[in-house]
Amino acid sequence: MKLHILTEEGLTEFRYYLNGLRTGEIADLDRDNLFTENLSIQFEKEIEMFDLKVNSKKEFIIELIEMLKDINLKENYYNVELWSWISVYYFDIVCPKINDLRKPGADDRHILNPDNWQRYYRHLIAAPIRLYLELRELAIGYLDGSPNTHGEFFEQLASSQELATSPSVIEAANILFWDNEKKEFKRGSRGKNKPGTIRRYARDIIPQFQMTYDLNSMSGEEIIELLPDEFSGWLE
Amino acid sequence: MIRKFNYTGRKRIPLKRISINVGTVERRKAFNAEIDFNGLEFPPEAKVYIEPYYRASYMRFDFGSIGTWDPPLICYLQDIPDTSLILFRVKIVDESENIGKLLGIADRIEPNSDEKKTPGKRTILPVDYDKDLKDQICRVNFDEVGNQVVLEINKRIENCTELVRTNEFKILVLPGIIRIIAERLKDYDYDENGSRWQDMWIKYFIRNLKVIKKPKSDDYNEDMIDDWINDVVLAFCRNYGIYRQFLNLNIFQR
Repeated sequence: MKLHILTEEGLTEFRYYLNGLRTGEIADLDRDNLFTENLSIQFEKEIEMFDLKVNSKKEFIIELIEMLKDINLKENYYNVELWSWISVYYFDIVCPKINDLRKPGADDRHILNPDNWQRYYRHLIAAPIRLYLELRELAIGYLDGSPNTHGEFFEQLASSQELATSPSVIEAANILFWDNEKKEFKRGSRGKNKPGTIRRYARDIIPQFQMTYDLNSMSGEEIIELLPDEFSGWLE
Repeated sequence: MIRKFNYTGRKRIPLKRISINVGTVERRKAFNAEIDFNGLEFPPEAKVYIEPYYRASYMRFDFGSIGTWDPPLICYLQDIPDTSLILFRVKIVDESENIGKLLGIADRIEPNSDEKKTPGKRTILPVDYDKDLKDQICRVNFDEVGNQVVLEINKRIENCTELVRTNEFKILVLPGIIRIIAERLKDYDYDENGSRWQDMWIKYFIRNLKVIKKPKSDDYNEDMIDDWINDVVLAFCRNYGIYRQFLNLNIFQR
C-alpha cells in the first residue's frame, strides 16, 4: 500500500474509533474503513509501505525511517495528517491487542497534537522518530522498550523540548543510566522517589543547573562533573 | 513585595536593550534581533545565544559573540507552534574559561508589537491570536507550563485582533470567561504571596473587583464556593458596567 494521509474527516473518524476502544463500545479499529477514499488521500510522494514485524521500539523506528527515507521528514515534523495515518497503518504495533483488548490511551499518542511540545512528544511514532533524527545514537534511551509505550526515560526527559533535544543533557544521562554492554537501563535507574534516578536528574538537578549554566554549551562529561554524589554510584 | 536574591553571579541584561521582531519570510515565521551590549562589561569572546520558546517548545540560535555579532541569515521559527505569545531568552555564555557558565541572561522577552505595553508588566489575560480553533470563536487555555491563563482567538476570523476590542465581545463573552476561570479556582487554596496563575487571578478578584476571599474548599461548603463564583462574575460585570453597556448595544433594534 502507498503512504497516505488522513483527511479532516479521517482524523475525526480515527478519534471516534479511539474513544470507542477506550469505552469498550467498539471492538476494534476498522483500518480498511479509515483507508477509504474520503478518509485517506495519497501522500504527495509515492512511498510504498510494508507491514513490519518488530521486537522493539528501536527496530520499529529505524525500519520506519528507512521506509520513509525519500521524504524530508524535518519538513513534516508537524504533519498531523501524515503521522496520524502512519499510526493507523501500524496500529497493531503501537496499540497491540493484549488479552484480546486494545487500550489506546490518550488521543495524543496516535493523533499528532502540534499545539505545543508537551502534547507533541506523546505521539508514539512522530516523537521518537524526531528525537532519533536529531540525536542519532544519543537517542538510544528514547528508543528503549516496546513501541506501544514511552518508558520512564522518555517520559522524564522528552517532555520539555529544551531537555529532550539537548545532546549534552542526553549524553550525560546515557553515561549515567545506560548499560552499553547489556543494551538496557542500569537496574534501579528508573526508580521513583529515590535519589540518583532518571526522574531526579530530569526534574530536580538539571533545572537547577539551568539557572547557572548553559548546558548546551557543555559536553555530557562536563555536566556529569557537576552532579552531586547521589549519582556517583552509576559511574563505578 | 517579595525580594529576590541572585546568588548565581550572572548579570541581568536590561530588556530595553533588546529589540526582537517577529515577521514572515517566504511565508514562514522568522525573527531578527538587536541587542545593545555597550557598557555591560561582558568579555568580547563570550557567546550569545537566543532561544525562542512557547510553553514546552523551544529553539536555539547562535548569534556569535559579544565582540563578533554573527546572527544566522534567517532565523526561522519552524519548531514553535502557531502563537502570538512567543517569548525569547538571551544567554551570554562563557565558553573559554568556565565552560557553559552563564554570564548574563534576559528572559521572558516579548517581541516588538504595535500594542502599547508597560515594560516588565504582564497582562493577566494574554491573548493568542494565532490559533486555529476550527469552528470555535475563542477558547480559554489554562497554560500550566507558562503559568498563565490564555485567551485564544481563532485565527480564521478576519481581523481577529479587533474582535476582543469590540463591545459585543467584552459584554457578551468576557463575563463567561471570568466564570470559567473562577470555576477552575474552585478547589485552589489561595496563597497571598504565591506567584502561580491561580494566586494572581484570586489577587485580582480581591484587590481589583473587591470580592471577599474564596472560602477554603472542603466537602461541606460547596454552596459557599458557588456563591463566591457568582460574586466574582457579578463584581466583574459591575466594575466594567456590563449591563449598562449591554443596553447601549441596542441588540434587538438592529
